[in-house]
Amino acid sequence: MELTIAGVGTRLGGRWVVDGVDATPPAGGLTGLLGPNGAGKTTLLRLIAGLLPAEAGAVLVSSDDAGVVDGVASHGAGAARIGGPAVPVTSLPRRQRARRIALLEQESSAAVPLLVHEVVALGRVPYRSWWGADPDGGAVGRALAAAGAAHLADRSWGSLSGGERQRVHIARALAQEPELLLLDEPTNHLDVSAQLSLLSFVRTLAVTAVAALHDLNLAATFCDHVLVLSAGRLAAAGAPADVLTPELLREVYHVDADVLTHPATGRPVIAFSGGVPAVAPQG
Amino acid sequence: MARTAERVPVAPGGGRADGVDERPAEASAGTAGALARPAPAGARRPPLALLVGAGAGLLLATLVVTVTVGSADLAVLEVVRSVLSHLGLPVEGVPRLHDAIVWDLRMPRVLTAAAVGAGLAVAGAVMQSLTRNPLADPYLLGLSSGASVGAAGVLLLGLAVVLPVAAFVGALAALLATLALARGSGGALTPARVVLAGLAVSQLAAAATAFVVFWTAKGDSYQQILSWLMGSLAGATWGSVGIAVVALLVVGAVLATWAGRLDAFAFGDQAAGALGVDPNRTRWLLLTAVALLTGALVSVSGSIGFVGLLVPHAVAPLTGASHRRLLPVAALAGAVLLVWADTVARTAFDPRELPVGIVTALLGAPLFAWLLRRSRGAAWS
Amino acid sequence: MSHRRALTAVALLALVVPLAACAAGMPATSPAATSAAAAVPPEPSSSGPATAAFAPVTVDNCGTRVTVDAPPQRVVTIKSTPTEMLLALGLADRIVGVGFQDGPVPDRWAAQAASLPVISDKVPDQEAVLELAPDFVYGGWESNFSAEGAGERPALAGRGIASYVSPAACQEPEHQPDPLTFDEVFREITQVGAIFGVPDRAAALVDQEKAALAAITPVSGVSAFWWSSGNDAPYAGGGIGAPQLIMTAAGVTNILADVHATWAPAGWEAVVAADPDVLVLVDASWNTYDHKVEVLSSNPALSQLTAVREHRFVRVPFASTEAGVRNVEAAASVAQQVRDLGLGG
Repeated sequence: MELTIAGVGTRLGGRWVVDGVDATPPAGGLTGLLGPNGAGKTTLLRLIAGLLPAEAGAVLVSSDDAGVVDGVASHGAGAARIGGPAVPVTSLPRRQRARRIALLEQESSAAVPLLVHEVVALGRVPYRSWWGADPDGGAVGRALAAAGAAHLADRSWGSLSGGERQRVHIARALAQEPELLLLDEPTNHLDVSAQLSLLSFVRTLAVTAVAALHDLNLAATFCDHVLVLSAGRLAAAGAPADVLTPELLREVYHVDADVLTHPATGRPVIAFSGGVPAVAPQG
Repeated sequence: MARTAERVPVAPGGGRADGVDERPAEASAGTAGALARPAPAGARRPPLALLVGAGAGLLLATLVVTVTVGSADLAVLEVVRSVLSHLGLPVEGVPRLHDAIVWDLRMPRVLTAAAVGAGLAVAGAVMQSLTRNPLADPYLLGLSSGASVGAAGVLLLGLAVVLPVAAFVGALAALLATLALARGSGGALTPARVVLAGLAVSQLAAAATAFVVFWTAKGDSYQQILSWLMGSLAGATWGSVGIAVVALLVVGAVLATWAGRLDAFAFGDQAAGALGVDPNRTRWLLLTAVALLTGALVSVSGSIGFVGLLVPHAVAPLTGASHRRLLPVAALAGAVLLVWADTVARTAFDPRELPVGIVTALLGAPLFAWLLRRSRGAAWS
Repeated sequence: MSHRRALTAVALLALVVPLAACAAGMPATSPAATSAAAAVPPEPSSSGPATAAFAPVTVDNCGTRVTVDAPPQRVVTIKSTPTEMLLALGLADRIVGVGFQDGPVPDRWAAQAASLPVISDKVPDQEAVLELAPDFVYGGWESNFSAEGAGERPALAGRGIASYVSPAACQEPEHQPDPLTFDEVFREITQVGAIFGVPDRAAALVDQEKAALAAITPVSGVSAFWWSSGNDAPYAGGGIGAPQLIMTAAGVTNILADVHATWAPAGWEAVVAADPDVLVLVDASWNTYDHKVEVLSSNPALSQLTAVREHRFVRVPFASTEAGVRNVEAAASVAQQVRDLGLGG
C-alpha cells in the first residue's frame, strides 16, 4: 500500500495535537514514529488508520484495485500511485478499511474473557458474512502460525504473559490480512529479548508498518525510516542515521547524547549522557 | 484480573526473528511456557451444535413435563389428548374445563415463560457486553421502571389502555429518556454514561410508580401492582405468547447477525473501530434492539429479575464469550430456567401462587454466589 | 387555642359528669359531647340509658396495652369497619374525623355518615390526625398506625391518645384469630362498648346480631370462590378470615377452605379445576363487581367455568367483608343471593 501523509492535522479540545505532518513512509518497510510523550504519536496513528477525521490535510492511501472504493477524487498533493489513485483513508468504507489497515493500540488492562484463538478470530470480523461465518476458515490458524503463537491457541487470554499477548495481538492484526500495520508502542511491557524479536519479526512481514516507539535505540536498530514528532509537528524525517543526531535529541527529547555506530550492523547507537533542562516550556 | 506484565529478566533467548517467548524459569505465577502447564479447564469448548442440541432437547423436555404439572390434578394422558386435539389431530375429547386448563391456562403460560426467559437471557448478555459491565441486566436503561409506570397507570389509575401497550410505551419512554441523557457531544454513547443515565431514569420512574401506588392505595389494591412489579406470568394468554415469541425472533435475528460486531468491542471502542465496526452506531442500534425486546417482554410479564443478569454468566464457561455461541445457548438456558421457576411459582404453594419474580430472586442470589465461587476467574473475572 | 380549652373542658366534664350522674343516677352522656355534633337519633335497638359508673378499661389489643380512663369523646376512625362500629353503637357524635373509608355506609346510617368530617381518602397522616385533637384513634388495620400514617401506637400513647385496632386484623400470629368466629366479632363489639361507656347498647347490638345470625337458613351443597381483588392472579378469601366466616354462616363451601390464611393470592387454575357453583365477587371501588364480571367473561379459560356460563355471581360490598358489624348481614345476603340463583335448597 502506498501511504502518503499530506499536511494532516487535527484538534482535540481546541488544541492542535497533530499539526501539519507531511510524510511518506516507504512501502513494505518499517517506519518508526518517535517523539516524547504527548507529541501526538497515538493521534497520528489513529489519523492514519482513518479512525479520526483530519481537520486539515489528509492521509492518502492507494485505492484497492481489487475492491470497491467510494468514488472520491484525490485531494491535495496526492498523485496517482501504483495500485490505483490515492484517496483519503477516511473515504474508504469501514469494512474495507479494516481489511487493509490493522491498528494495534496500547494494551488496556481490561479483562477479556476470550481464548486466544477467539481473540485472533476478531481480526476476521471485517471479512465475516452477515451470518458471521468466516469465508476463510484457515485464516486464524495461519495468522497464529505466522506470529509464532500457534501453541497458544487454546489458552485463555488472562493466562498469557505480556510477550505472549503481544504475539497474539500481532496474530490478530495478521488475521486482518492488512497491507498497512500500525503499532502503538508495541514494545511496552516487554523485556529486551521480546522487544527485539517482535520488531525483527515485524520487519520480515510483507506489509508497510508504522510503529510508535519510545525506545530510540530500538528505532535506530530496526527502522528503515523514522518520523520524529514534537508537540504535534514533524521535527524530522528520514533514515535513522540521518535523523537521530545529538542536536535533534537535545531539541526534541531534552537529553544529552552521543551517537555511535554499531560495529557489526553499522546502525546508529545512541549513548545517553544526561538530561538537559527544557529551555522553553514544553508545548 | 488483568495480570501485570512485568517480567523478571531471564536467560537471554536471543533475538530470534520468529521465536516464541520461552521462559524456562518463569518467576511470575502461572506463566510458564505452554508445555509446562496444561491448558486451563474449559479451553476445549464443546462444539456449538452440541450445546444447542442439548439445550433444545432440554427445553422441549421441560415444556412437555411442566405442561402436565399444575394445581389441577390432571392425568398426563388427558393433557396430551388436549394438546393434540388442538393441534388438529383426531383424538378423544377432554372435559371442557380440563381442556381449558391445559390449552388456555397452562400452554400459554409455559410458552410465554420460555420466550420471556430466552429473551431476557439474550438481552442481558447483550447489555453486559455493550456496557462492559458484568452486573448489567436488561432493565438497565430504565426499561422495567418505565414499564412499571405504564402498568401502574392502567392497574391503579384506571387508564383505558391495554396493559401490555401501556407497559411497552412506558418502557420506550424510559429508553428515550436514558439515551437522551447519556448522549454526549456528537452523539457518542459511552458505556459508563449509558449505565449512569439508565440508573437515573430507573430511579425516577420507580419513584413515579411508588407515588402512584401510594396515591391510589385503597383496600387490597396493592396486591394487583405488587405481583406486576415482582414479575408474574399468571396473566399469560396466547396473545402474550405471540408478543413474546415475535419479539424474540425479530430482535433475536438482529442480534444474531450483529453478534460478531459485539465481539469486536472486547478490546474497547478504538479497537472495534479498527476492526471495521462503528462503535457508536452499533451501540445505538443494539441498545434500541435490546430495549424493544425487553419492552415487549416486560409488557407481558412484568419485570422478572435475575434471569437476564445470571444466565449469561452461567453459560459463559461453557460457550466462551464469543457472542455467536453465547447468545443461542443463553437463550435456551434462560427459557428452561424460567419455565421451571414459573412452575415452582404456581405449584409450590398450591392453590396459592407466587409471582415468578420472587422465585427467580430466591434462586438467583445463591446461584450467583455459587457461580462466583466456582469461576476461577475464567469467564468473567 | 380555644380548641385545647374546649378539649380540656370536655375532658373535665367527661370525668365529672359521670361521677355526678353516678351519684345522682342520671344518664351519663356528657352535655358537651352531645352539643358538639348534630343530635343523633340513637339506634332503636341500642337506645336506653348507659349503666352506672364508668370504670377504667384496660384491654390487650394486638399486643398493645390500652387503658381508657374515660369514654373517648373525640374519635378518629380509619377504614370503614371502625366507623360503622361506632355508628352501630350510636356513637356518631363522638367521631371527629374519618379516613380511608372503603365504601359507602349502608342506607340506615347514610344521614349520620354524611355529616362526619372526612380527613382523607387515604390513611391520614399524623398531623391531620393530631390537628383534630382526638383522644382515641380507631383503626381497621394495624398498618394504619405507621409513622407515615396516623402515627405509631406508642407515639400516640405518649400524647395521651389511645389507639385501637380491630382485633380481627391483628397480624401477629398470637393475636390473629385463627379462625375468625362470630364470637370474636361480638367480642369486639362488647369491648368497644365497654371502652366507650355504652355496654348496654353493645349488648343489645350483640343480641340483635345473634338473632339475625340465627335467622339465617344456611344453604347446602353449594361451593364458592371468593374473589376480592387482583386480575391475573386473584386475591381470594382463604380459610381463616372474614370471607370464610361469612361463607360458613351462609352455608357455602369455600373451595379454598384449606388455605391457612385470611386472604391469599391464588391461581386461576385451581379455581377452574374446582369449578365452584357460585363466584362471590367483592365490589370495591378499585376493583368493581362489573370489572370482575368482565374479566371472567372475556378470559378464554375462565369463561368456561360453570358459574360464568350460567352467570352465577354473588355481590358483596368490600366494607362488609372485613370483621365488623356488617358480617352477619353479608352472610344473610350471600345466602339469599344463592337462593335467588336457584341453588342451595
